[in-house]
Amino acid sequence: MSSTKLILQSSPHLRDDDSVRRIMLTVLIALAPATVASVLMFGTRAVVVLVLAVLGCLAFEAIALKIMKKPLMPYLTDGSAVVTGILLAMNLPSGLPWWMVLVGALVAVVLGKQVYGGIGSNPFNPALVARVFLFISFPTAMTTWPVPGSDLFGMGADVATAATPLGVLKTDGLAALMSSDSNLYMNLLTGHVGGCLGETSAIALILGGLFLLLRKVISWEIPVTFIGTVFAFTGVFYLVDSSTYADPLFQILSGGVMLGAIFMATDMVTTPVTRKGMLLFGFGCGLITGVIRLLGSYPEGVSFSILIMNGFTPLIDRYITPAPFEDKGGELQAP
Amino acid sequence: MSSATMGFPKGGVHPPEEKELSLGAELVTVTPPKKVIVPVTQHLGRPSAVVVNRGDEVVVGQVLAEATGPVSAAVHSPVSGKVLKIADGAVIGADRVPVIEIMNNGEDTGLDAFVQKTVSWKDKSSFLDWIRDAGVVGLGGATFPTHIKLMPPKDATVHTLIINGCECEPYLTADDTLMQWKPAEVLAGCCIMAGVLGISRILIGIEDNKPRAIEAMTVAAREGTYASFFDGDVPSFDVQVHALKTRYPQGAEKQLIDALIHRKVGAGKLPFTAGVVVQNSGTAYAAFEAVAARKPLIDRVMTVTGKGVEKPGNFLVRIGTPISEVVNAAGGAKENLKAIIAGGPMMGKSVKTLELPVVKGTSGVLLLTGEEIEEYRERECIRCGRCVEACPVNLVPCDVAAFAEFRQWDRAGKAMECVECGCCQYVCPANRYLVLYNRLAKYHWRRLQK
Repeated sequence: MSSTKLILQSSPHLRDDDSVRRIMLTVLIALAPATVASVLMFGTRAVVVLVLAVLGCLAFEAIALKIMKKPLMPYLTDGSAVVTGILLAMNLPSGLPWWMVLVGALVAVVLGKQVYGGIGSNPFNPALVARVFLFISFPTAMTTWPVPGSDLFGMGADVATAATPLGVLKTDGLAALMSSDSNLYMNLLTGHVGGCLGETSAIALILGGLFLLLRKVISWEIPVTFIGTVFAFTGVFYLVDSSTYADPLFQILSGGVMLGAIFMATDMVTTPVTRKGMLLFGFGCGLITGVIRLLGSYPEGVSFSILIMNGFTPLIDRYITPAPFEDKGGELQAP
Repeated sequence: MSSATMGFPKGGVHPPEEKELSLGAELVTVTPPKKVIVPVTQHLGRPSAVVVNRGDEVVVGQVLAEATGPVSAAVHSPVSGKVLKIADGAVIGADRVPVIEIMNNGEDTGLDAFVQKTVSWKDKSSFLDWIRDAGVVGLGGATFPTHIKLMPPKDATVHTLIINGCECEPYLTADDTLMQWKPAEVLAGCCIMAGVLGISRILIGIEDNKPRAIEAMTVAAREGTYASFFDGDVPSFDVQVHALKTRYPQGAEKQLIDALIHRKVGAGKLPFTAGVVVQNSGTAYAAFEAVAARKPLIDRVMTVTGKGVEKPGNFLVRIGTPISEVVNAAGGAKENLKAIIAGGPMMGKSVKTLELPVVKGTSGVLLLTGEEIEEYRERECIRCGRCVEACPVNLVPCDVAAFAEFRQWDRAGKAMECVECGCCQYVCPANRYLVLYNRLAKYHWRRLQK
């Protein structure tokens, strides 16, 4: 006994077996169905975007850690850079030139995360910072959407492209949208529509979301209030004028609502820590998304809404705290 | 008589229980050692004052140090023999505090004075004094003087005595063992304390991972066997044994009150405000001995367990016995011992040697191997919010930790409500030392208030 060094530490002396790495791995597993769906829809172009985004994020993370004289372990191996890479790819169109994907990875990891001090310190969702950066810098490339299922084994940008359903709705109106696709809702569910890699199959995204809920990596509050608020907000407009505004079901199934509500707005670092704060966060995301889609000039507003609410997160966490542990003056109850 | 409840409503964790290691074996009485080391102060409150001198011959139960005011407790000699020295020595949680060393003459002179007799209810007015004079303190680990908790302020209306038989810390089985071994005596102790308070309602909370203790206590309550210890005009007691769904920290006073009577006693408030007094089941037994045998608190039941000890079990030990002697009675420590914890694994203190005395608050000692404990490297908080979910008193532990890390002590006042149960740190995926940050924040917050 005297030969071995005894552990001396502050209580508690037990920990459960969860870790940052395990959480990241769980998110990766949850992203698998949507990742597979994106490859099925967009073929080798999707694979290229995914691989470049992940390798780019890992490489820039390693370089940033070197510059900041931080060890590669456990930072590079905890899976957080891989998650950022996959989420970035999910937010890009499949035909994006390869170097733009790498610029995105650089922005996500360095400007979105490491300049703030690395994991846990970034105020904004890194993948969305990169998406919006690319969207503003390269508006044409970022809104050129290959048609799903076409030229699956091609590589270049010379692929048939088409507007997303939300794009058609914004520029050509509701009648054009409804006549453009006779099987619109089924295609939205399976992902057979134009869009970013991860903005396609609602079913694949919901499957991943259910897995995250089951593994308690996310809780229901943000996804449900986010999607519910989009539904309610757009539903009111639809009820008032159903000849101009699309129905709320279309609104929640199209664009980035599912991807955003399930995977982007539930990022732990950039969202509130309390359940009540999460309800407010999800409501804000849904409201801003609805306002941008219906009243703004952009066809889609999910990324902006999440980034704006990320900015409110410290305020929400400061003012929405758990109710203190005390009696609410109730009558004494016998057990 | 018995009904299962859900337990306390919010927060908490359920670590592996590990109780089977030390359950099942007989309660072993440890032979008093050649030399005992009795710390002068073994309670929460004002330090006790030494009343013996070096070289004095003492008998079992003789007062070594007396209480210095109401919130204080006497300490008695656990053996008979000679006072070797009164000096500074190491105890659990402190390196230098006053201790009294006594060479045991092995004769246990004076022990036979503490014979259990039938308690006459006519002496009820003396119960409180006897409990106080016996140096009884809370044996769950908090060691607050018991008699103080039995003296509610004038304006408080106490209607219920809650007995804490939860023993919610993993590994520990001392309360479980005592309730199985002496259920009628524990119940009689409860009645004595209820008598002091002038009430009849007694709720006993036991976690449902202790079916044998629940059974023993339920049978004793139903059959009223405890009544045989009394004569005179004994009032009838409404004793209820409640099985609570196992969840740590059920045995934290305020969580237990919430679980049993659905009242939340807020930060800085005492259980009196909810009309209750909470006492540990082991304390009830000590109160019984104090009244029925006029026996001071000179021994206690404790658990020695973990995979680092040969024969884990429960032991009746004299106060002042070096932990090493109890470990020897448990077959000795194993080669691959990695840590020694005094108390449970959630709130106990890690110590560096077995040569420390058992004190009134020592509910157990864990000898853990590398299989059971490891050192953790802290990482950055990822704000996952698990600590918020786990906190039973509704704090945001990650925020307190952030304030502490950046030395913003003036913003960390919430830490004062922390009970240091450790749930937040248990669930933290970044292995943050959240409890330590909370303790730091408390220290500096108090400093700022001065």
